[in-house]
Amino acid sequence: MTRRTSLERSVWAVAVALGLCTVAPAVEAQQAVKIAAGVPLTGPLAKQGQEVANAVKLAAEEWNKKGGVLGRKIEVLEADDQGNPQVGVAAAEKVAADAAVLGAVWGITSVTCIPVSEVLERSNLVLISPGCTNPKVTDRGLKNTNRVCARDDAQGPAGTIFAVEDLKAKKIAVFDDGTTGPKGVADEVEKKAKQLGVQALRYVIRAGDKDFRAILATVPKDVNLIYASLWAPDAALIAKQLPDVGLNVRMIGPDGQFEPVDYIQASGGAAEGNYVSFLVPDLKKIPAATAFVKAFEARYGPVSSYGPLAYEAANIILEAIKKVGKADRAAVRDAVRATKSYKGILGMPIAFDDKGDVAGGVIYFYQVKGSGFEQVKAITVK
Amino acid sequence: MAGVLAILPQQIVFGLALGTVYGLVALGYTMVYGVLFMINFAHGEIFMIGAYVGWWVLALLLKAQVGALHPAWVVPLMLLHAMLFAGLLGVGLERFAYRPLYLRGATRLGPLISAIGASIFLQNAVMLSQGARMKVYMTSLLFPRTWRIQIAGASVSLLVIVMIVVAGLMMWGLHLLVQRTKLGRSIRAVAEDREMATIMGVNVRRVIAVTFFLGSALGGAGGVLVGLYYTQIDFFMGYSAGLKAFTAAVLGGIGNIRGAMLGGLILGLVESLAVTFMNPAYKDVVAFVILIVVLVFRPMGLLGENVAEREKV
Repeated sequence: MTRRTSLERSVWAVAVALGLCTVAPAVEAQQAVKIAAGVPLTGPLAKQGQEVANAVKLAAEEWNKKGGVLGRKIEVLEADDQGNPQVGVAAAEKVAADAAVLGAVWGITSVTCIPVSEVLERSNLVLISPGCTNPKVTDRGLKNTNRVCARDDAQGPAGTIFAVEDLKAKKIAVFDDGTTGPKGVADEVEKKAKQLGVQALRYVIRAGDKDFRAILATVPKDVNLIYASLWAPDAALIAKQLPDVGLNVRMIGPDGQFEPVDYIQASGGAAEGNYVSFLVPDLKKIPAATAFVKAFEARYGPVSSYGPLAYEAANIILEAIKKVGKADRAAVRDAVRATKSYKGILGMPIAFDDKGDVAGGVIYFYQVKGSGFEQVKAITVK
Repeated sequence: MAGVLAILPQQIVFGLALGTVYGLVALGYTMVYGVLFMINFAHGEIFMIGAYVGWWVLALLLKAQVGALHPAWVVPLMLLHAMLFAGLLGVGLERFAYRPLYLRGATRLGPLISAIGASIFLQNAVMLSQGARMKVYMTSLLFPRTWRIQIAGASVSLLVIVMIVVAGLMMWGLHLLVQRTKLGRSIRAVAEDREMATIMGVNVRRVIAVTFFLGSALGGAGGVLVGLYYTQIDFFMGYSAGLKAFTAAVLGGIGNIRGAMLGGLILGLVESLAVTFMNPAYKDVVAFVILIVVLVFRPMGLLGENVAEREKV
């Protein structure tokens, strides 16, 4: 019992050596504070995802110019979730394992946000989503999950009100792709349409399919509006294929279609006159956003979708880290949730409620004109 | 029910368009299987690369601003380039990914795994060189939306007619080539009995290479037609299209050229019609249920494997 064998001794020696090794990188990691940008960087949603990552990088650079946070430099850790839950979870595990990461701007697809937030919750890592709009994202009562965008149960009904009151829809064909986010909006649209006494017919397509003509041909000809709760590439195809089945109706869709390249350009002119609801007002009309738009466009090209929301999310996280004053994930998490009246570039103060939803959502309606979107209306949801 | 009947002609037209393309791509699977008894899983990627080549031809023409683009010469130009490139790619694959294996007498699984590897390699090569984002075919510049006619209550665009005609002509040409020419006879000889064909003086390696060229070229042509019809292409499109075409080949009887065409048409029509009668989410379910039912009653596919005496393993 008292004497150690040589084997035991060598085991101890190795253990001590390993211990020293693990200490060394930890010291190095102290040198930078990291925030993660988790979005689809490849695949069909890469365009929107890259804008989010770029906006986070811009925020980090601006902070770095002012000396960083906690006296350290800020680095952005990009994580590609491909808009796919399995890939997202793997990416989230990697982010959570990096001790230097203190917060994450994550997700434009609800289907990915939900499992990712659970992974990050386990290590008390806060996330703010710029574009995950499904109610379940915040309704699960996770302490770490917040969002700066409106919820589907705000966006769907607002879109329906706009469709019925402004576009005089009498019979609506509602499309979704069966995944969490788009289906959630479509459910809300159907519910609200019923309340307003308008008939809503449901159709499900599969995202990634390219030929929707057979489904479109089954839409009755007396439908006078299509609510396409779909992502931009799919919506562009629907817009293009509508004439093939002799349907000549306008389309309206949620935030996932607010993409000039993948929706307007990809539709080859077929989307002209269609409507899209979005979570950000027209930045050209907000003085506070001028500097952001200028800085972003100088480096990464036009701001077109979730960039402004991602920029706000990154700034809120960095403000929270600054307020906490130390690299403590749990404290940062609570400080983010406690954000009240953060004044950023959107022209309105941002505050999170108990669930992590942004208080007081406004939905903005845009019409496709030429190669861009023009804001035509704003609806405030209770 | 009247509503369903009214849209039926339209659905049949869409089904035919889809079906001819499935058939065209299925030919590549079936021809290679005929001579090598292996499933070339990289064929879907060859199809995808054909679509990219067609896109580049169109993009370069647009960039060069050669004036009015008329489909009568632009489409053949796209097809020609895509078929040539895809065909050579197929030959290259055979030379470097499969031949070293089958020459050394690897089991059938060897080339199969190699094909899966080639498929992943090609997908990623295209993703890295062309970007992960989809590319948009400017089909509306070639085929204005107004170019359409009414047939039996269905509105048919010129593009659909072009697709059906091009695919039909290619299948007919292949049929003639295989049945009427010396080259076709040697392809059939290799498919029937490779060793005996060697003894009879057929250059088996050359026949296999030519078969790969033909099958891949048809796949490339399919890629261009699908690109024009779907208007969006991406590096991953070969996966689902390849799966469908492979299904069509099995449905008709793999190794059987007429079977591939028939299988493609049936699959396209079934998918299109399934959407008419039930929830569109189930369209793939219907397609694969039909495949399973056919295989239960006719394990060799509808027309059977067109191989007289199967090689014994």
